[in-house]
Amino acid sequence: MYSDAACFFTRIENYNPDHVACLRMAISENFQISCSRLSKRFVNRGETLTAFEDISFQVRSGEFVCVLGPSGCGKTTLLRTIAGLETHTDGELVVKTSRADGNPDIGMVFQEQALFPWMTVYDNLAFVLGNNPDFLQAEIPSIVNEFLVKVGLEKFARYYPHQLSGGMKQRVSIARGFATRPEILLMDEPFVFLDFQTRLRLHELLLSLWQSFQKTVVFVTHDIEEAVLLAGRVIVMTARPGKIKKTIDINLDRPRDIFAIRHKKLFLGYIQTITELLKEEMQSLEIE
Amino acid sequence: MNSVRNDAKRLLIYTISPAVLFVVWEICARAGFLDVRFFPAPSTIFYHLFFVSPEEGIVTDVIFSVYRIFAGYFAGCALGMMLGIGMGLSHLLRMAFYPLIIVTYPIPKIAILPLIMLIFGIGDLSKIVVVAIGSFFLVLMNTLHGVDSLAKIYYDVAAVYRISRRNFIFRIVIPGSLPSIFTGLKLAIGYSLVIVVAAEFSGADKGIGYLIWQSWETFSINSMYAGIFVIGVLGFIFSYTLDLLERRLVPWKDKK
Repeated sequence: MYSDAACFFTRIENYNPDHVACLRMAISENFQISCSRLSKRFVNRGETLTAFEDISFQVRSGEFVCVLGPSGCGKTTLLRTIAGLETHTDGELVVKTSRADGNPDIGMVFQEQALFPWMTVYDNLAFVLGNNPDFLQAEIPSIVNEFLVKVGLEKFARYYPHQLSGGMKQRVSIARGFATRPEILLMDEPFVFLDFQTRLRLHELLLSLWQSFQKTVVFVTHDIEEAVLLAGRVIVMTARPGKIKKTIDINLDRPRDIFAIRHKKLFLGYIQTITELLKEEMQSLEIE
Repeated sequence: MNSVRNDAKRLLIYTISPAVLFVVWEICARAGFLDVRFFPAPSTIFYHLFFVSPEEGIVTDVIFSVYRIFAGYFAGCALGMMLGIGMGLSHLLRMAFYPLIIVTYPIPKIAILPLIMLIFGIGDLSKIVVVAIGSFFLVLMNTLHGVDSLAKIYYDVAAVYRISRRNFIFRIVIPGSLPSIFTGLKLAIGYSLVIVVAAEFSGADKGIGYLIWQSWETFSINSMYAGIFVIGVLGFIFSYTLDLLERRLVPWKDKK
């Protein structure tokens, strides 16, 4: 199907024979993202700090994965590494792409303030679309409008971000994330600064968008409930230096009703299990 | 329409405090609290400004000063913006120019006027060059600060969406630095007035600075005040125009 393997895979830093197995798996299993023994170390004033180490996991195409961990466990750095915003120091990262130029096709939703304040809501979307050679200038207005309708902000196209509430801003960010139709959507605690009710509505929105577009999503959060509610699989990380503590499959039916699901025994069971895992991590932190 | 009415209202409010000052001054002058030989009443000054000064050629003086300011200001601001953005984006440019800038920045621009006159002659050009140099530094420093204080997340967004270099500069860096650039532009226009008047004190035969100096030499106090008043009005017009421009070009900035 793919004649050119180099175009099929991107950002393979060094071909270590140890990791050939990981690559084979990535090919055979149709993994969108494969990490193998991934580590990242910083050197700060002569002191070596480890953001995360020995991270191995795979994300299948169309899967929704949450990375959950205590603050400072390197989960955001891990996400940024997948996005190509940081480089890892060890191990291998394979991000599959079907693009001809070999660049991974990624959309990203950040914590906050990632919209350009000097552009209107419309221009924030139109700008990233207009910069993407996959889109024709003529089709941009209808795509922007389509996604603003999907997030319920079509009436706010001419507003500037500072005229919107925090929840509306994140709706725009989500619309921007989906609008370029990326294969992979990376989300870095996008709802962390929102109040509970706003967050509920955005969970609902995100799930319905994911359901209709079937993107591969990696979602970083420290909120256990959020992770169980959204993900098909939760990767629980240890405290710094971040390693994978446990991976838990969330076998809850889809589409999920964000209110009804809260009464399900299974849902509560997952939350208890993960809470116990995080409790251990908190205790280990206190001992340090 | 609404914003036009707001602008008019703002302009009206802006005239209140100067008007109060003139009224108090007038009263003090007429009541004899002020020595009118040194502090003539505003009404005397206005009469002189509107009926005597035009005869003495104040219009030509204003035209010459404004011409020198504009030519120098636009050239200095344009260069300052370009180099500021260049230095903000390119490590090489920053390393090359920053030492030169921080050494030359604190030198009073008037101190180099004799040198400039030596190089560019005693005509208009030397005044324009001094104004340009003064504007250049203020705009450069503020532009550089604007680029440096752009939130790091914009670089991340640009990287994730592979924003082209051109779009990155023109749609992200420049608009993002505009609030800071405007601070520089406003400081520079005021400073340009200061410089041009000082430069015209010596070695000029036209201009507002020349008018004031000439009036001092002939003890023509009313002409002197007329010159000072014109400078104030010019300063007000320039600053107000820049304020208007800022509100049009930086609509996302919190308004006061």
